[in-house]
Order: sequence, then structure tokens, then C-alpha cells
Amino acid sequence: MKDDSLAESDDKVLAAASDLIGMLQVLRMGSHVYRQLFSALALIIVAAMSVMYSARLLGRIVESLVGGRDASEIWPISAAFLALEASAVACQYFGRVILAHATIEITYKLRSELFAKMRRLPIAYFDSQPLGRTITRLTSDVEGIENFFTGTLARVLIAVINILTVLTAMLVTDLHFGAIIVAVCFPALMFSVALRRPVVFWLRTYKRRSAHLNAKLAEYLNGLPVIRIFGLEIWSQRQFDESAAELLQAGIATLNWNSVIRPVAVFLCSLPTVLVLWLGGQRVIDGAMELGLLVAFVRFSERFVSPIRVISTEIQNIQEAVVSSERVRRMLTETEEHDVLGRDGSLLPTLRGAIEFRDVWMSYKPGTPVLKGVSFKITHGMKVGLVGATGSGKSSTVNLIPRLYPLQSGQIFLDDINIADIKSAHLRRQLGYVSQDVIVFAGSLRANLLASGAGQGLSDELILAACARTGLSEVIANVEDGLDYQLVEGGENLSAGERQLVAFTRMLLRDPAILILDEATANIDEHCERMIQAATFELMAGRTCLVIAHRLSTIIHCDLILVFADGQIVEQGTHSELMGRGGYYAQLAGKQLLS
Amino acid sequence: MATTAGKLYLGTLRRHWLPYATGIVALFSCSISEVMIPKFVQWALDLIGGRMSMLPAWIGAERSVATLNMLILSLLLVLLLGLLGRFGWRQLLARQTHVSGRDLKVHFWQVLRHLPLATFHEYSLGDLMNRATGDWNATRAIHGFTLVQSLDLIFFSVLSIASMIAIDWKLALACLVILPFLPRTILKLARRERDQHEVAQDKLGELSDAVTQSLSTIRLQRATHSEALWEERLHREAREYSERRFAVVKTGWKIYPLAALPTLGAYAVLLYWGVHLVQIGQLSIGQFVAMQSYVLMLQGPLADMGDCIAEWQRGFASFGRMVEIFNLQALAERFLGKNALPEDQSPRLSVNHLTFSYGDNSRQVLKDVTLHVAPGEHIGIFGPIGAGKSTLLAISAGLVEVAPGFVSLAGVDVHDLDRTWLAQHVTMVPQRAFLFAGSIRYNLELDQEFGEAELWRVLSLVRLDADVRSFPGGLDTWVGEWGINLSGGQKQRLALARALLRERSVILLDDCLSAVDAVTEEEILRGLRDRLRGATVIWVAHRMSTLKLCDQVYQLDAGVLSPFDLTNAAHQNGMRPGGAP
Repeated sequence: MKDDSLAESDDKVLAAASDLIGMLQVLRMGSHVYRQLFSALALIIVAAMSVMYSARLLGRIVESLVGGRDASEIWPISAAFLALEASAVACQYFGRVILAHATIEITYKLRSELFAKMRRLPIAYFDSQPLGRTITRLTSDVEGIENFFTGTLARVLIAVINILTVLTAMLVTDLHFGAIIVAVCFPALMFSVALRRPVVFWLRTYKRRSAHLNAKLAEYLNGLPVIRIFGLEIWSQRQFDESAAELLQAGIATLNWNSVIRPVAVFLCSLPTVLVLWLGGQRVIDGAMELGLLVAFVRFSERFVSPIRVISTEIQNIQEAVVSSERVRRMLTETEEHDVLGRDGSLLPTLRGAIEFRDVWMSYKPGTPVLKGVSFKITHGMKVGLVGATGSGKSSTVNLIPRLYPLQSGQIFLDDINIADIKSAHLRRQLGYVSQDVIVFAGSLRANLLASGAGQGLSDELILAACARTGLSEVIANVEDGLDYQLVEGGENLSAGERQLVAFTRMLLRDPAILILDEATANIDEHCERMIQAATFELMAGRTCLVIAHRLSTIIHCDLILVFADGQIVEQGTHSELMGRGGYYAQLAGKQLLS
Repeated sequence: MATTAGKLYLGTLRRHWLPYATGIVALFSCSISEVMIPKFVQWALDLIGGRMSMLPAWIGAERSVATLNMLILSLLLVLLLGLLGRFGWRQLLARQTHVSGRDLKVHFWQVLRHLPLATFHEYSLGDLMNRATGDWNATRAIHGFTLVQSLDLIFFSVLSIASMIAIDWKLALACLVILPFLPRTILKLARRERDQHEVAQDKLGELSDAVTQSLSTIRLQRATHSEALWEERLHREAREYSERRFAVVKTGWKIYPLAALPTLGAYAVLLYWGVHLVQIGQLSIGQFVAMQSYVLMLQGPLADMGDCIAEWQRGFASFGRMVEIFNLQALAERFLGKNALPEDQSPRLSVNHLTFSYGDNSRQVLKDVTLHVAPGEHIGIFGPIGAGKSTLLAISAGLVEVAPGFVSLAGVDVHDLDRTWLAQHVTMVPQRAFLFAGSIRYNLELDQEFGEAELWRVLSLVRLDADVRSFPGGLDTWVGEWGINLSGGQKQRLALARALLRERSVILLDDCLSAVDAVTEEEILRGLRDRLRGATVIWVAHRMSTLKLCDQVYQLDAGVLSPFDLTNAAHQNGMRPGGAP
């Protein structure tokens, strides 16, 4: 199962995180709420101590009753008892609310840091991870940490405080007797902590298999047409049943462990009470101890049970949170773009669009160059086509212009300025990028068109004018809400061609100095393509444009064609020049232009 | 036969009556054990204090260590009973959570796999997955855990209150007088907490969506320095979520002091009236201490009560949503219904005056389309996007439901045809390639086994063999759902290879080489022409160049099908395929 490899990497992460660095890193996020954290903990400690003290008071009341004291002597103690209990409730309440607020703030800060980090990570980082994994870091892992902080950690902290208070109260009230009882408290604690490993193992196995089963269901639902076409209904049911059976097995295994561990833990928790009654009882019968003291100890030991239960339940959740924290910490300490690209430039030129590559070498992974000495010169306003087989270097060349990756050697000049000397943010703002996968998000058409930061203040008139130029206005005419037309995530309520027009209109509104079209016209039918070509000419007017397509009909009108093969430019020239030469380009072209 | 959540639930209880019954007994003995502890404390204190008359006879009559030992031994036995009870209810009742969970999920797919594809316009993938995860969790909980929680609450409260009444009913009543007034408030708070929780979860969903979008577009953002917009949105969503999350916690914690009120009230009663009773000898010290323990113990159930009831409500609401899907079985059966086999096996496809639109209100996708394809013919259809070509193919393959009488294959109405026969004689390659998470071999073989030679042969036919050989795992290289590691063209070719691997007499190809470059496409088409000789083929394309292989070409424009003369068109319009003048 593929997910086993993920589990292995998790185990490695776990091994590295045994000293909880990740957890501490996350806690450090809360530096601005430390005061809140401390006051919350202080309140909870006060509450716990109040309860212990009220238990002592109860013992005194019992002693007074045994000693036949007058009611008027007992009432003040009773009043104090009530006051302590009431204040304990109040302190607990406020303490927990403040703690919750602090922990929620910490996770907000964590999210903010992660979002800011995303901006600074090099593009190569996103290439090296499946998108799903990065998304998990920012969503599931953060949620896991959040639930841990606001839930588990809060509960465990409170339980620990309560246990410590009980143990202290016992020792302070009567050192000798208290020490014996405290000693009996430890088996329960040790037991819960010691046996967590098998439970944690099965819990994680369960979660993994559950995710696997759900992924399978989603996959089958998505692929139902294929299942129907190939008659795979029975086959799919068999596979599904198998995964479901595995999940059940993990669930039962977890259950089996818990059905032994929890009852034994509860039993061990009750032992202090038993011992108090037995040993203490003997002492009182022998006259060596007061009954009131015994009653106080009974109360103390009663308060011991539920915190232990909490710890033995929650201890299973700590492991997961440690893994999540470590993964998040790693992301936050990843190398950033400016480290990879080298020092950023400081110049802020307004680009006209002249591009020159001088003997550029580039590789994504060291040792396997994808560009081997690429050189060309483009003047402002030229329409340049890049041709060649997949992987020949077209996309890599074009990705270097916004400085998405570092160069291994060679230089790139924009308007005769070395690209490394230009401030990359400034440079990127003047670029336009249209790719095959058009980004459409859930929102109005207007919002989608303005998405690339083309100036938020653009009036609808201007937007519609751009739509008219690209032909998107035809699409708008067919829908009721015009620019307010709601698009769904991924733009599924538009056809592929219509999505391309959205991308084009977006770029028109942005009005960049250099435009990059990366395989933008591969998926369109001929009618739309004609429209898009017309729109493309509109868009390309007066700016430098680099077009990558595998259809020669689209680049036949370029001022310059760069023919790539195996990371190098093998031919350059206009279409007629290259056809005349009868080389590689002529071969490619010949195959396309059949009637 | 449609069923309801209630009926199904009772049915499950009846079917598994033995584990449920014994589990409840185990739970009850566990509750008894817990409620007995303050009782034993009471007896111990009375024994130690010398009030022997308050003790049950079987313990003894002497204020001695021996009697104390007897008492402690009994206490240990009761605690062991509790241990066994806890083990028991987990093994018997909690187990049902997992068992019923498995049954529910398996049944879910059992129903869904046979449903007509049109059903999924009504139930989106996200909706179905929500039912299969969130609703499923709540449903399986009421089959096990929630039951335990509720019964535990009831047993515990009843036994504790009974014990208090057994000590002194007047005192007990006075202690508990405030109790009936609180549940309604607590319930209201619990309900509000749940509602706020839903709101917060929705927000979290929106935040996740925003994160996904932002990450999907990271290259574009970086290349054009437009990250600010996205980041601002993410911060905003995260902030809103934090606020909503805190609202949930605040409401939840309000329940705690409310549940503590009766305890404080009861303490006040005990400390004044109870003390008085002890002083006049009507109440022993043991009883006094025991009463206090019971009062404290009742705090837990009171706080949990709201949660418990809400779990049941949510559980049954969720179960109802799952049952809604289960009841769609009837739809599936209608679709699976007739299973007629054709007498002559020659797959002549006939579409007769078919007019079709999705749903009731949409525009007509196909208008009076008539098409007859003789066995062995190769037909081409081209036309602009949205013209209805994919729909026509899907209908011909029996994937999309139409009214009877319009589409027939081998002389039988396409929806009456035996599904197995259909799957064995017709194949379709959709435009958007779908691959399973698995190796290339897995995706090619699916439910059958093929020899290596056959696999490579079909891969070379689609010009994918070189690519696959270059992959580190070769045929065993893993591709994710939707073929994550492969390019669009590679995915399409793999899907085509998968279809070609199986001999079929009717092959429907929906522009399945659109993402492949022209040179490669040319090579594939040449190979296919030979391979597909003898089979009935309908080829849909956007590029006319692809259709030169076909015997007969049609144009489908705005739902209208008309024959097209490929040879004339190019010359007449002076137009080269591809649209360039």
C-alpha cells in the first residue's frame, strides 16, 4: 500500500522528534499570549488548591462533629468550605476560557507564519512535493496541532495540575501517611504511560486505513464511468470490501487493547482510596489517627481518579500532535527562495521587453541539465514561438524569465540589464503568464478576471471592453448575471475554451510588458481556437510575447521561431526561413499542415 | 422498498441482540460498581467511627480490624466486578461501533456502484463523501459509543439518586431540588454549541479550499508577483475561523459552571441541614460523607447530558442522510432491470430522431439526431465545443439514460441490454482520462490478467512504450488518481491503451488524443487504422486532420448532426485544418 511509505517517513519524523522540538517551536509562536497562558494556568492552579483545601475543611467539620462541637463553631468552617468550592468553580471556568483563547491565538499565529512562508519558498520546493502533501501540512497538520492545543494539551495540563495538587495535599496534610498513599498512586500513572505504544500504533494504523478507504471510495465515484464501461462493479466491490475488512481489523485491535488497558487503569486508580480506608481505618481504630484526617484523605484520593482517566485517554493523541508539529516545523525552516536564487537585485526598471539569453545552462536536479547553452536575442514587441518535443527545454527557458529557478551558468538580460540585478518582485509584476491549466476559483467572473492583481479599481466598463477584445463577451451574453456570474471551483461550469478566454482577458487587463503563453492552445476546438487566435493577436500587440505550443499553426505568424531539441536551440528563424532550410523544423511543420 | 433510519436501527439491534443485551448487563454492573464505592466509604467510616448498627449484617458486628478487612475485601471484589464490566461493555457494545461502521460503508458502495450516472448530477462527489465520512461517523457512533454513553449516564444517575434516597429521602430531595431546573438550559447551551461548531467547521472548510487554491496557483502567483491578494484572503479566513472557534469553546464552557450549581446548592444543604442531622444522631458520619460523594458524582452526568442528547439527534439525522442513499437502490435496480441479450451479435448502432437535454430546464444538447452505423464502419464526428459530441457517445455507450425507443444497439434498446454484454462488446475512451491510483500495469489490467507481451504491444500502439520504459519502475510505476505523475498526453494514451487491450466490437473514442502532439498523434492513428479494422468505430475530434481515417464524417453543431464532405471542404474554403488562413 502506497500509504505505508508515508507511514515510514512519519516514523522517521517521529524518531527525530522525540525531544519535542517541534512542539516547543509551536509553543514559541505564542510568545504574544504568554501573559494569558500564565494567568490561565495560575487560575487553574488556584482552583485545584481551593478544592484540596476544602477537602481539609471537610475533615475538620467531621472532627468537630465527632468531638461534639457546637453548631456555631461548625458554621464558619462550612461557610469557608462553600466559598472555596464556589471560587474553585469560578477560577476553573475563567482559567479554561482564557487558556482556550490563548491556544486559539497560538494556532492563528502558526497559520499566519505558514502562509507567509509559502510566499518565500522556492518553486522547486513545490515541484518536489505532491500538491496534496503541502496542502495537508497547511490544513490537516495545523488542525491537528490546533485540536491538540485547545483540547488535549489543555485537558492534560489541567489533569497534571490536579494530580500534583492532590499528591502535594496528601504529603502536606500528613507526611508519613501521605507518602504511603502517594506511592500507591504511581502504578496507575505508570501503567497508562507505559502501555501507550501499542494503542498509538493501532490508532495510527486505523487512521491510515480509514483515509485509504475513503480515498478509494472517492476514486471509485470519480471513475464510475470507467467502472461502468469496463464492467468493473463486482471487482470494485471486492477491492472495497477488502479495504473495509482491514479497517475493521485495525479498529478491533485498538478496541482490544483499550478494553484491557482502561479497566485496569481505573482499577489501579481506585487503589489509593482502598488503601486509605484500610490503613487509615486501622490507624483510627488503634487511635493513632483522627477520623477527620481520614475523611480528608478519602476526599483527596477521590479526586485522583478522573485526572488519571483523562491522561490515559489523551496520551494517545500526543503522538500524533508531535508528528504534525515536527512536519510543520520542517516546513517553516525550509530554505527560502532568496537563498536559492542568490541575492535579490535592487534595480527597478520599467521593462520594454527586450530579452537576451547568453549561453544559459539550467538543471532542476544537479547533474541533469535541461538547458545546455541556450542563447537568443529578442527585441521589444517581438512575437517569439518556441517549438520542440516535450522536455526539450521550452518550459524551462520560459520559467527562467520570472526567475522561478536559479541558473547554473550563463546570463539573462532584460532590456540589457542582468536579470539578477533587477528586483524580482518588480520584474514579476510586469510579466504575464497564461498556461494550459487555467486557474478559476469559486467566485464571480469579475473576481476571477481581476485575480492576477490587475488593479482592483478597474471599472466594469474597462473589464467589459477587454472581454469584447478577447471574445469573452460572447460567453457573458449567454449567462444571466454577466460579470457577476458565479464560477465554481476549477471553472467546471465553463468549457475548456471559455476558461482559456478568461485567462486571456485576465492578462489583457493586467497589460504586462512580457507575455508568456505556455501550451495555451492545446485543448480547444477549432471555432474557439480561431477566436483565441484573434484575441491572442490583440493581446500580443505592442508587447514581447513568447508562445509555446505544439501546434505549428499557432506560431506560424511569429517574428522568430526557436526550435528546441534536448535542451538546446537547434534552429532559429522565421517560418519561411526555416521551411527553406528543410531541417528539423521543416519536418515538424510538414506533418502538421495536411488537408 | 424504501426504509427509514429508525427501522434499520431497530433491525440492527434485533440482529445483534445478544451482544447488545449482554453488553448492557456489563455496563450496568460497571455502574453498580462505581456507585457502590461511596457506599463502602460510608460503611468503613461508620465502622471506624463505631456506629456498627449502620452496617449491613454480613460485614460483622465488631469494631475491629478483622471486620475492616472483610469490608475492604468486599470492596476489592466490587472493584473487580467493575473491571470485568468495563471490559465487557467494550468488547460487546463498543465493538458494534466498528462492526456497524464496516457494514454501513460497504453497503454504501454496494448501492452507488450500480446507480445511473445522471444520479450524480443531484448528489455531488463532495456531498456523497460527506455522507460517507461525517455522517457515517455519527451513524456508527449511535450504534455503539453513544449508546454506551447514554446508558451509562442513565444508570449512574438513577443509581446515585437511589442511593441518596436510601440514606435519607428528605435530605436527598432537598439536595436535589435545584436539579430539574437546569437541564433545559444545559440542553440549549449544548445545542448552541453544536450549531456554532457547524459554523466553525464550515469556515474551516472554506479556509482549506482557499489554501488549496492558493497552493495550486503558486507558480502563476510567483511568476506574476500576485501573491498579496491570496495571502490577504488566507489571513482573513483564518481570522474569522479563530473567532468562530473561540465562540464554540466559550459556549461549551458555560455548561460547566451551570452543572456545578446543583453541587454547590447541595453542599449548602448538606453542610447546614446534614450537619444538624448528624448532631441529632439521625445521620451517621459515614452517611454524611457518602451523600457528599454522590452529589459530586452527579455533576458529571449533568454536564454530559446535553452532549448526549445532541449526539442522538445528530446520529439519526446523519443516519437518515445515509439511508437516503441506500434507498436509491430502487433506481439502480430499474437500470439493471431487463438484461435482454441480442439475438444477432452484430453491433449495429441506431440512433433515431434523438432529442436530448440534461435535466429539465437546460438547453437541448442533441436535436433530432439520427445516425446509423453499420458493423465495421469507421465514423468521424467533429464540431465545436458544447455541440453534444461527448453526450452522443455517452448515450451510445449506455452511460447516459435516455427515454426508450431512441437508441438501440444490435437491435435491442440500449437500456434493456444486458450490462455484462454491453461491457464486453462496447468500449469508450472519454476525453478526460481517468486512471486509478496504482501502477501502470494495474491500470491496464484492472480485473483481468494479460501477458507482458500484450501489454507492451498495446503500449507501442499508442506510442507510450518508450515513455514507460524510461520510467524507473517500468510497468510497475505508480500513477495516482487522475494520473498525477503523467502529462495530459500520456494519460490519454494510457487510457486508450487500456481500452485497446480488450477486443471490443464497438469502440467510441471521444477526442482522446487531444493533448498529444500532432506528430505522435499521426503515428498512433496510422497504427490504429489496422488494429481497428473490422470494429465499429466512432471517432470524435476537434481537429479535422484526425478524421481522415474515417469512412464517413459528420458534423455536429449546436446539437444538429449533418454529413460532412471532408475532401471538398478543405479546398472549397481554402482553409487548412487548424484554422490558419
